[in-house]
Amino acid sequence: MKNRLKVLRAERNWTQNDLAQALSVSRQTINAIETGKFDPSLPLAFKIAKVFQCTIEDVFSDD
Amino acid sequence: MTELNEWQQQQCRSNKLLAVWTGLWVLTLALASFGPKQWWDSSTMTYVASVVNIIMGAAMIWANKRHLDHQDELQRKVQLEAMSLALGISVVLGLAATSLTQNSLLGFDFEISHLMMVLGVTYIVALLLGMRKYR
Repeated sequence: MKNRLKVLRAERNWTQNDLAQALSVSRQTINAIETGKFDPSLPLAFKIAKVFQCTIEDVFSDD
Repeated sequence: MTELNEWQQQQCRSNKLLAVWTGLWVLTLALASFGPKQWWDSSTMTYVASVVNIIMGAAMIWANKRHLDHQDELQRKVQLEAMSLALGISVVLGLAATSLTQNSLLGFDFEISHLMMVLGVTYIVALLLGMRKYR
């Protein structure tokens, strides 16, 4: 699964730590999602979309 | 955003709680094991020490559950992989060593403490590898 997490984060000038704090996860989790090593659960994906004020499809896409 | 948020504070608290209960469990285990040989000569005291040790163990298990509850989904995945590897290796090696001991093919008497060492080392190594994998 591909994602635009890094781009969306950069657009808002947020660090990985800022996003991690907003989502109540560790910075390592954000890094693992960005690098494609870990796919988040549906609840976390919804939370990510909510933080970026967009839809899940805007953040995640199929390979 | 440098201050710890509520989730991070909860994680810190559950880590400390787990460390405290684990420390108390180890301490009471040492007391129940070495007390009868070193400090007292009463079977009642040994029973009491063992009961206290079991209570501390139950508290440690509760603290571990709480610790897992306060982890995020990637941390839980790393823990699950480490635990499954540690349990699997310990069961396989433990039963193999027991079988070898029963047939007098092992150069030493296999004891539960050996199994605990295998379990602990495997868990720590698997945890470090998992953390490195998703770094």
